[in-house]
Formats: sequence, structure tokens, C-alpha cells
Amino acid sequence: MNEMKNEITDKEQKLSPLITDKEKQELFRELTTILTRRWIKDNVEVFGVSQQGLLIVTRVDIATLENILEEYKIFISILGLELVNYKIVNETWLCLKSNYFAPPELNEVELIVLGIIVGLRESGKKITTKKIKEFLTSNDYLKEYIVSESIRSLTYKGYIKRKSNLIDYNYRTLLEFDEDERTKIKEEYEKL
Amino acid sequence: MMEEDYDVLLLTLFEIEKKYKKLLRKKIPLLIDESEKDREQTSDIYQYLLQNKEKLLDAEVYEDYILMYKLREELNLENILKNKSRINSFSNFVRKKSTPLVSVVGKKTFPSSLLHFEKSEDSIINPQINDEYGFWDIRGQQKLESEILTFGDFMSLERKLEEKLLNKELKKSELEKLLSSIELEVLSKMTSEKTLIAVSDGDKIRFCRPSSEEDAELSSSLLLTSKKKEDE
Repeated sequence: MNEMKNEITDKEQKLSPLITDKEKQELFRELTTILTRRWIKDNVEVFGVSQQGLLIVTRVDIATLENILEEYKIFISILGLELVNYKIVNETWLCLKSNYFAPPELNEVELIVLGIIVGLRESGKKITTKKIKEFLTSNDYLKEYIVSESIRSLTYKGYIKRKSNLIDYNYRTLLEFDEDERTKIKEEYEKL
Repeated sequence: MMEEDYDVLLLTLFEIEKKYKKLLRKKIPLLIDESEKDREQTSDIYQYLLQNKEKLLDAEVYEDYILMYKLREELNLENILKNKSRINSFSNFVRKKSTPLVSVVGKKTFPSSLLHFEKSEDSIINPQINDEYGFWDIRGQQKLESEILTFGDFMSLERKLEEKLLNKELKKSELEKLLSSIELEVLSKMTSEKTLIAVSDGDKIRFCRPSSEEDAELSSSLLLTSKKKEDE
């Protein structure tokens, strides 16, 4: 197995000369289009394309696809973008992410609820809807129905998921807020 | 002023500086009364200071007074701030910490299960009208596969065409029988790029090099349909 891995890594990073510059342009254009698409899967928004789908669409083997993606990564890094992958039910999906801080598509209340979920989760506490509501309504921050609405919308947008009454991160929180940022949010939450 | 007094002055200045630095580092505010007392103590010292080093120390003490004043104000403001604005600033903080996923702008799209990853074949169907029945005869349909031509193919096609056509006079019908549809496409490209010039001479078309007919202008176009049979 190790030998095989080495062979793949030893391979040239550049695409094989069989693929011309013009074809590469075409391929990159198509990749950008498909990687910036947004779908709905099991009532949750997902971004980009599954690895399986990409293999079928491009009709190449895994090693070639990896080479193509390596070169594509360099290409998009100029635009300040990054190719990331995430897992949904044992399936790997690929999508594009901003490399720099930028405002997300959440509204103010959703940001507050997400921030509090991050704060609670990073302090190692179990999160229930009741706990979030208690925190926000007892301090007279928000109304209860707005909080439930935001939790529903965050679940739909792929930020959080529910597992038998408990709330946990979904793929999008992990991608959009990396560990350092989550720790900073936790610190800010503790000041509240 | 006695030398001993001078030492005492310096010592107080030094101690006050130390006290303020420590409090500022720990962000503990000092009461205004106490701060004022310190200021009174140090207000006239500058008149007796001799060395530059000592004057710098004095300046630092005054800077600490300013910083302490700022700290006190900030902490007071924080306590006065309402819950609403505090939670708003928290939401802004979360907003600033995100590196969002990128998607093309647009409202909700269709489910991913509707995605069909199927190979599509580029084909053009050449319909033939069946005269007998007067409708499109499906049986006679001829499938035209689209072909991918490389640059080398183009070059050889152009060379072949030149061999076939240069300095020859042909009728329209003869030309249609002689050339396939791809060759006609290439011929069209060559004439528009003026690598080969076609001159209409009565009902015949004459092909020549551009250099011999430099003044020739494009006057009309001609529609050609290939009637070349496949086995030929």
C-alpha cells in the first residue's frame, strides 16, 4: 500500500501533457461552476459536488482527478479561495471557501444563536434547545419564538444538526469557523 | 533643596510609576480621589528634575494617569451598556470571525437527487423527407457524429484541399460531389481567411492563390451542400 502511495506522490504534480491548455481552461471553468453550486440534500443545504459525482462527470481515474484538483487549488488560491472537503453521511463533498474573513449569510439573530452554541460547545457543555432559550430569554436578550426560528434556519443552512434532543455542529460551522476562531468566540461568550 | 529631599522625590515618582503599571496590566481601575492625590504629589516635581532620565520617568507617570483615566471610562461604559447592544456587539464579533463557503448568488435550488450524471452524445440527425408518405422518415435517418479535429488534421485537410482545387474551374454541382461536409467547412474557413480565393466565373468557380488576385473583393456568397457519397 505504502509503495502505491509513494508512486502517486512521486508523480508529477502537473497535468499530463495529453491535456492541452485550452482543455484545462475548459475543465477549470466547469469545475468552478459545479463547485459553487448549492443543493438541498435531506432538507439541508449542501455546497459543491460529491467526489463520486465529480469522478462520473470528468470521466477520469482518481489519480488524475487528484492531479487536476492539485493544479486547480493553485489556480484558485490567486483569487483568495480554497478547495475544502467535508463529509455528509459517509460521502465526501468538495466545495470552495473564502480564504479570508468575510461576512456570512446569517442574519443578526442567527449569528447570536450560533455564537452561543459555539460558546457552549467549546466549553464542553451539552447543548439543548431549552438551554439556549433559557440563556437568551432570561437575560432579556431575545424573544423565545425568534430563537426557535433561528435554530430551525441554522439547521436548514447546515450549521447545526440535532441528535436526539442534543444540538451539535454540522459541517458548515466547522468549515467556516476554524478552531482558533471558535475559541475566540467562546471567550467572547463568557464575557456576556 | 537638600539632597535627601531630592532622593525622596525621585523615590515617590518611581513608586507611583510602578503602582500604575501594575494596575494597568491587571486592568484594575483606581478611584478618582486616589488618582488625584497622586497627581498633586507629582505635579511640581518636574521643576526640580535634573537629568533627562528622570524627566522621562516623570513623563511616563503622566502617561499612566491618562491610561488609567481611559480604563476607568471604558469599564464604566461597559457597565452602563444595555443588554441589547452587548448582544449585538457579540453578533458582530461572530460575523467578523467567519470565512464563508462560496456559492453563486441565487435563491434556493433543486434537490441534489435530480442531478443526472449521464454521458450525452453529440449527434445531429439528418432528417430526410419521405416523398411517398410526406412525413419525416425515421428509417432513413443518417446520424452525423460530430468529429473532433486536431490542429494537425486541419493542416492536412487544408493541404489536400489546395491540391484538389488550386487553379481549377469547377461547377457548383461538381464541387458538392467532390467535397465532404467537413472539407466544405474548412474551405469556407480558408476563403474567409483569404488563404485561398474563389472567383466566380459564369457558372463556374475558379480557385487561386491570393497573391495573383490581390484586388479581388468579396462580392457574394455561395451555399454548398455536400452530396459526396460515403464509399467514395
